Amino acid sequence: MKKISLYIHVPFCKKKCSYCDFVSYENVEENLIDQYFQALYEEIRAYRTLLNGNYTVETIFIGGGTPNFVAVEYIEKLMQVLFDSFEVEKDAEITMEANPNGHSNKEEMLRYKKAGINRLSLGLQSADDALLKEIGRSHCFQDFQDAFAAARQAGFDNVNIDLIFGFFGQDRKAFEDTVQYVVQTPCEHVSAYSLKLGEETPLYETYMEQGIDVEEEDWEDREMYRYVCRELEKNGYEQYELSNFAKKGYLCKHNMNYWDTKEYIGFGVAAHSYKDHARFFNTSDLEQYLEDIKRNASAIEEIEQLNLQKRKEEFIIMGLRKTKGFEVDDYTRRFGSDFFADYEKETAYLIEAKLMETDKKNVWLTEEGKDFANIAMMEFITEINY
Amino acid sequence: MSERQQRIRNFSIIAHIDHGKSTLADRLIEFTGSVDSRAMVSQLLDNMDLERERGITIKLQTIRLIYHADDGEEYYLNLIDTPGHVDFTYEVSRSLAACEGAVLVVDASQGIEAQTMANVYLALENNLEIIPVLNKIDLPSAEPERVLHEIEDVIGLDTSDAPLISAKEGTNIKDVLEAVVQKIPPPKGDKNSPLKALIFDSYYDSYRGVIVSIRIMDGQVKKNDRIKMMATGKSFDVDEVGVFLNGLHKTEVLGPGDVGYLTASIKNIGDTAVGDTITFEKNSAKQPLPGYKKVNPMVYCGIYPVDGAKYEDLKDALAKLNLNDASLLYQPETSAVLGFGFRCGFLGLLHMEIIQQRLEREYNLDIVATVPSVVYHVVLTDGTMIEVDNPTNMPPAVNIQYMEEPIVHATMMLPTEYVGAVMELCQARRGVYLGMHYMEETRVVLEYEMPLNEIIYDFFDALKSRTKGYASLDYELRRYQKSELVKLDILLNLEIVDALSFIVHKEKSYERGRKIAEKLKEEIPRQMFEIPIQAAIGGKIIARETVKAMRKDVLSKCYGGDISRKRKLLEKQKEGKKKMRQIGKVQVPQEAFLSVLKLDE
Repeated sequence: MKKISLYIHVPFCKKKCSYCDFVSYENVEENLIDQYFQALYEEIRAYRTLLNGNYTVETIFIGGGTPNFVAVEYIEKLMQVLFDSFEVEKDAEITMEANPNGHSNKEEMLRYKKAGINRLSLGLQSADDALLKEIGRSHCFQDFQDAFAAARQAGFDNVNIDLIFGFFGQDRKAFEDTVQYVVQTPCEHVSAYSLKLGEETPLYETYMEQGIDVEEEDWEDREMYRYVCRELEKNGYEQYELSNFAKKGYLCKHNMNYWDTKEYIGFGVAAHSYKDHARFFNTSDLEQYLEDIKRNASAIEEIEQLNLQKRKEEFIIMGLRKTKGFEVDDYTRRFGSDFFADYEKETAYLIEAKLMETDKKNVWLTEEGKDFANIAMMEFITEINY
Repeated sequence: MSERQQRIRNFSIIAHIDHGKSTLADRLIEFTGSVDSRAMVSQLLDNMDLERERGITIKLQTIRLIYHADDGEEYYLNLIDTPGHVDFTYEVSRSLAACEGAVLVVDASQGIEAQTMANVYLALENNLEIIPVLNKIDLPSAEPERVLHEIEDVIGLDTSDAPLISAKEGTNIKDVLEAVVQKIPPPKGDKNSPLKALIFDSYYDSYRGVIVSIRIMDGQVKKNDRIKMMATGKSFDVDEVGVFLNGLHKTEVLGPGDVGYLTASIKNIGDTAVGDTITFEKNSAKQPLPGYKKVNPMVYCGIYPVDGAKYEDLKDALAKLNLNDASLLYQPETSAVLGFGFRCGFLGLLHMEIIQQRLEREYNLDIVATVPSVVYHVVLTDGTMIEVDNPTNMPPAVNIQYMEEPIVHATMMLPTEYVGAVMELCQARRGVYLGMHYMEETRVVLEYEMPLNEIIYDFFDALKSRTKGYASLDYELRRYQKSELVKLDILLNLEIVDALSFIVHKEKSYERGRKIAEKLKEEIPRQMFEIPIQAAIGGKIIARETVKAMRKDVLSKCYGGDISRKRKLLEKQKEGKKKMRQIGKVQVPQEAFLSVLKLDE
């Protein structure tokens, strides 16, 4: 039996954050949410025959949007449908993203737990109320503390906290306070993201209007990144990916599967999948999704079959995100050739440029390489389709 | 004059860009049924992509239309296309010299514009009958009355029976053909005189050798005649003569007034110089046709492949372009930073730009072009004179007694309201005022003497932007003149970039150095380290800018839904990098090399 991961997208938020460019809808009618979940359940059930007998589900991730924005019943039912449809492993990691502005009191947390969710990913972003307000978050620091306490009381013993940094004019001291707060919670896992503003976001427009050059401004992003890496390390969190840190034994298995280019199926609007060397994704238009599912239970918009070359490239660029990089033996096992022979020139160049290192067993990015990961990864891209 | 000769009409269409020259040509072709309309690629005459895109004609095209006129006779109308830009003035004048008349197309809402004028005057110089035609009368903004009046006022043409047409809609196309037949005189010429044929174009065909476009002025030419090019002195045996129908159409003979082609197993296009006169080797004409001049390159630059491994490809491409464009000169050179490439000579800036773009598009080459240069005369301390068209070859200052630079006579035609702005521009470009006269109340001709090296740095763009596009420019080399010139070097990350060095007047060197440094700062993307940009004269730094180091280039969030997008971003980034040239440690985009030309404030 092969293993697979499942991702479920809940594209609803109370209010979209000003820096967000994910597919999510705000101010939607209850009725539409209901239709969405009915479609989602149907899409999931349609995969039963495809997966059963061949695959066991190793991890599940319910992301968004804000999954705890919708009524708890929808998530309970979702879990029920998943368990009924697939062979979910007994110790499967089942994560749900949650924001303090959604359902997050103790009773609600208990219901999520009881429904089968065993890992929570909570969006704190910052402990600085002024910044939260500025970036359009609709919770305050106190809300987060309450949500975190409720999660613990409900028995969640594997909790991630999301942080984001690198906003223009962000207060350094307040950021450091945020990090200090996080390490003393003490959660099991931290994701700390350096802001990369999409051009479609309202915050980008605001910056442009204020004459702030998003590319040029000398933000203290890297100082903050080094601070968070150092402080988390000091407090027993091991960095295992560019933006992810975990206490021993608490790596996020679901996300590791992405970076290991393993197979997954995504359900819901805009959800992506990777199976049998093909990447495919659903429409990101909610109406279209509902219509597609109603018609033939598939909302796939595009399928891309990866050839050997592309699979190698993705294995490398995703693998290099991990602190330990990728295993050379794993490369050989998958592709039947030697990494160092395939990429002799690129490897020599990147090692010379001090962006990459290897001990012949693994290949990984140096500290500098982490800051310029794209420049290093780009070297491995050879095939361009235009 | 033979009866056949009576029924020939040779004409060009002249117009400002966008006034509908090519569309009208298409309609004339369509109306006379000269080309199967299904086979007609949109705008047959502009058959290079680049031409279609810029709406200008670079390479001449000719076609014969057979028209049954209202008087019941059948006429041969030879439509000779003309290029429309200052770099090609000489070629325009040659193709007009092959005609007896010209159709002047004017947009019924825009009216007369700058570019039209230069060609109108060329046509008048060639004593052509000009037929004004108002186009785009279907547009709601059309003001035919006003524009007709303008044509009478400005050019002094009688517009009482000017055809009012819409080339787009195909309205009144026949009026144009009738006017051509009735107003343009048949060609003169005596078939018993010694052969005199004007070469107005030529191009290379890999099977037949050079195909020479000619207009017979006197005499006749046919297969097996032994002909001689009067300027180059080369002789050939004629393989074939013919006319331009839908493609080349073989005929027995070409006689006086005919426009057609000949082939004679000519391998080198340089042997068939535009403007030259073809005659017989024996029984040759006493005098060549007037107006031939040898066209020398005025502007030089280095062209290098972005990827050094593509040198051979670049060489092949230049050789192929040269087959059809004898005015393009090229010879190998090397640059310390760019490796192997070619020094190329062009008629002018547009010519240079077109060649660069053709290399990129038609030959799919990524190239880097260095700062253009004119040809300087450098007199050394020992009294010998050398020509320098590449700043890299400029001798050290201590060995130079003095230098001379080319001075051109520049003629600009513009509406009166812009005179102040243009005079200011010319003054700033070291121009010496020669005179100004009114063509009519609203339009003047300004004449200046100006160093050519001031013109090659975006002068034309600057002139256009100061006159909202209404000015036209023509220039002609006058002489060489002593001048205080210095070599300005640009250093990137403390290394001299020879491809960016150029020669400039001493008084302007500081300002230009500063501006180039500023411009390069904008063009060079941030990299993993800080990059100093310096301008220096003889080791002395006169300007400095810094490209700050990039802090990060990383996508911090990358999960299941981001992988495809991530790969596409990296592909795009890689594609961008491929277009950059590595100089030392620094990645320099191609645009940076061009941008130093575009310094207009």
